[in-house]
Amino acid sequence: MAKTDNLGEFEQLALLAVMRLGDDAYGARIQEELEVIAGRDAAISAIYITLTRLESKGMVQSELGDPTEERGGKARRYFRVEPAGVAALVETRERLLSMWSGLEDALDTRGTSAHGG
Amino acid sequence: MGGDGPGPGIRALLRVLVPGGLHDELVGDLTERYRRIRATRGRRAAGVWIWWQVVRLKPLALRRSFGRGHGETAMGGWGSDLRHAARSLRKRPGFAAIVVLTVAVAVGSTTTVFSVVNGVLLRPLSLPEPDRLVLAWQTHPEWIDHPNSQLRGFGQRFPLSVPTYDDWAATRTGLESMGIFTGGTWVLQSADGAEVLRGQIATSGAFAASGVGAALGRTLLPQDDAVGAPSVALLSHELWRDRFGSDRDIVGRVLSLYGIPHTVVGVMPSGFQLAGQGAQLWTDLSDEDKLGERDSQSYTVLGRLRPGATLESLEADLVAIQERLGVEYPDDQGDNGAHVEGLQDYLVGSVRSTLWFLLGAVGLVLAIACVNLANMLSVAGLARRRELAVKAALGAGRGRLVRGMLVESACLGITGGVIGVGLTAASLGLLTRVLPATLPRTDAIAVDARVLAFGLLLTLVTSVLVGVVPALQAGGASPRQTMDATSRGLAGGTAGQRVRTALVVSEVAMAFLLLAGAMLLGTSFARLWAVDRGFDTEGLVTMRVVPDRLTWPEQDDRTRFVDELRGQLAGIPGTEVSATSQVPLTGSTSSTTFEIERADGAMEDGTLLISVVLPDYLQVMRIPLLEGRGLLESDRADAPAVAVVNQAFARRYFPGGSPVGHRVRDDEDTPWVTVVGVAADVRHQGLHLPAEPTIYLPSAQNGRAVTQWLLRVRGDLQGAVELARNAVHTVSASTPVARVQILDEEISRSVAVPRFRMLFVVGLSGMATLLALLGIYGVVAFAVSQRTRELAVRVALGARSAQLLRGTLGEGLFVSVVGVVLGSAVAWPATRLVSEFLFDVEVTSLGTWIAVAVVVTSVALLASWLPARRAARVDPVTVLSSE
Repeated sequence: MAKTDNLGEFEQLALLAVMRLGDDAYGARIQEELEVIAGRDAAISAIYITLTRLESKGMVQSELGDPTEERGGKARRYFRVEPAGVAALVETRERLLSMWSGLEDALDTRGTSAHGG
Repeated sequence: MGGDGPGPGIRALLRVLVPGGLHDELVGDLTERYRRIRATRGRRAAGVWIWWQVVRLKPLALRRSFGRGHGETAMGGWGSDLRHAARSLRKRPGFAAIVVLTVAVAVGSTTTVFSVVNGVLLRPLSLPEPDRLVLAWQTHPEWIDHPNSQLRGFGQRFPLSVPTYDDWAATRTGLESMGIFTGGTWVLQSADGAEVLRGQIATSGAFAASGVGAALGRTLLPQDDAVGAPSVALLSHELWRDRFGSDRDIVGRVLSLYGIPHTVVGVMPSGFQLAGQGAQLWTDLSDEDKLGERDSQSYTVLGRLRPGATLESLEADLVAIQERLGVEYPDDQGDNGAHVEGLQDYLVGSVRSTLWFLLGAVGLVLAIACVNLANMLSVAGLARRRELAVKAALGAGRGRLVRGMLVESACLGITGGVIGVGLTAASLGLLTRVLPATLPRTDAIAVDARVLAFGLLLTLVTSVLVGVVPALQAGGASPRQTMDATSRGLAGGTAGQRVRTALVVSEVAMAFLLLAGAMLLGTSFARLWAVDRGFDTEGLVTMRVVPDRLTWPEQDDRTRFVDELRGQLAGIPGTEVSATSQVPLTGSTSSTTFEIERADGAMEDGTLLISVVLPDYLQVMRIPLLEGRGLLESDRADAPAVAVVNQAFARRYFPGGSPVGHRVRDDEDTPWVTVVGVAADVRHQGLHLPAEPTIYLPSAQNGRAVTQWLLRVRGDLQGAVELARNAVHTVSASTPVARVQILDEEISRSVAVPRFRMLFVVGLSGMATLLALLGIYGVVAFAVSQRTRELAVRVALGARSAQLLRGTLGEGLFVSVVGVVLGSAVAWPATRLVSEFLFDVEVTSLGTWIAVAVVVTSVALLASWLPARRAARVDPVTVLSSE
């Protein structure tokens, strides 16, 4: 089986955040996105560690932008999800959905909060 | 947080924690969000947020992950070495803790001893330009070459008379200002009763020379030196604070000292001492003193050198004056010379060699600890040789590997060192209480910049020393050899084992050195303590009672006082009472030159210790009478003058004969005194000093004051002392009881420095022995573990376990024998340094050396026995099948 099968939960979240942000996917924005949308207070180092690992697997590509004043003269590293990353996301989602099917009613009472935490 | 981004503290933390390649973007992200949060939720919230981010940074994980992702080499800069070291040590917390602890204790104890050396010896006195302050005395030809060091010191520092001082002061010398002083005690009478104060009697010049002004009022001025000037007193800050409640109106008040009114003219600054310690106040000389004769010699000169003058030039100036005075006053000055010492040298001279010696000893323990640590790290490095080999195979150069190991040992060393210096700082309060009370300048002991610098230097040196062997070993490893080998050939090879053995040998040699020192000092102290004092100290209490001069002004009054007090004290049950002018072994010494009528009728001048005593003194002290009779109650003023002398007197002046029946006298103006008995010798000046010729004179026939009362108490000492105080009060309510001493305690205090020195070195040698034991154990055990396969093969081939046991024990024995031989080679010259501290023990005593060698060898055998047993129990089947 390919490695793409093994996306962890935080890897999924990070990939999804990068995709949602499109051309604006860099550390600070990703962290914010995870906080606002997923309710997840992620450490900036965790984000970089995860995305760097995914980059080494070819699922993500990154490049440095230009230094900007609002960041104290520091450049941004922009991330972009590669086709392999998208494929892995799709695969993971399908596997999860197939496991979910038929269980929505049974798990309804505590589903959302458990998922969010 | 200041400015636009996170504060400088955060920025510095991030610089350290975030890997270089990732630093910009990560810090940029944090800065960007920090600003946004500050704009929306305020500065406080942003501050909390940024700290929360830093706390969760996981620098090591970041490092690991990021290093791969962005192609930075796995072998980065110093920072990477540091992180590697931290990670590698975190995997072995027990090992790291032992190393850090050892360094902390070793560096801490060395720094602590240095802080004492620094405070007592190195820190300048807290007087202006202290290196220009000098003390000057006459020299006395009779004592100056005396073999006994204490008496030699007396001959070198022979006090001056006022007229001699006036002659010195009238001549231009290398001193720009000078004065004289001498110790003094006073009885301060007030409405609350009487109390004894200690201090100095001085002229104004002594204060001028000190360069310190009064905190309140004035110091002594030239007008106070004039005959007929009103008596004045200058208070120490401490006396002013404790006795007079820091009363700012004290200046101008009149104190009654010995019943003589003294006007307070000033208060000195806190901590001020003229020369010496513990002075509570200073007064001018009395008129009687100011008009003193040339033979009334009791003063020391304190002076300040002119710019350009040296101790030598000053001494030459003074000797020239002395030669002139010797011609002018041959009787009083004779061949007296002059002697000059720097004030600080004088104050600390007696303990200088002890303190340097102790620093050397503790340094030796530090060295032993370093050797042990070097060995531990070396062995630990070998255990990680595969890791190193992998790194080397991946392209890390020799330099990189060496650096990595050095950084690791430096991490341990510096952590330990910093803790050690912290221990020093924390333990100073305790230390100053443990130090002998006779140690001068203990108030100057503190952790100052010099102590800190010393501690840091020590830490760095330790780190390098400890790290260099394992580092070189790491550098020497060839990857192929290491990767190929399975068990033995790689084990640092025979070369590594040889280096470790050499280290342990040096460690054993150093431990041997310390043990030998401890043994010599211990034997010496035991003999010193056990020396026959010549009298019985058990239950002996002394107290000083000087009758108040107003109530008992004349000689007859004071005699009456002694009689009355004696009667009162005799009433205390279970107590024997006597009195003397000076008690042995309490530091008081009074000598006078006598004319002695020798057996052949010729006269000889001799200096005698003089004890004026009540008739029953010898009985109460339990000093045996060897010949003739003792002093009797009937030896009253109107009876023929008699004396008892000691054996030393008899030996010196009547060798082979008896002094009984012969006569002595103070000088030609005083009547002859007939020797009626010979008493046994008593140690008077110190346990380590032989008895001097001594004469006991009955108080009824001698004008000298009998102020030291002796109580021989059976049972409750404190109760008897209370009754004695009451007795004094009954005789004279205005007379205080000063200096109550239990003689055993006093003698114990008199040997506080040698005892401290001995205990210190014994403690250190214990540490050294333990470290050596661990060192030998470590090396032998490692050698055994490396040779397990070989041993197994030998067992398989029929070797008996006894043979293996012998072989391994032999290794420990070899290490210890070589160490002992090396240690003796070094110790032979080194222990001569100790010889000045020894009493009745020869440095060269063979017994000591053999005993130490036996101890060291036994320790070595013990340390190799455990691993040897393991070697002997090797099971060939298990070992060989595991490969």
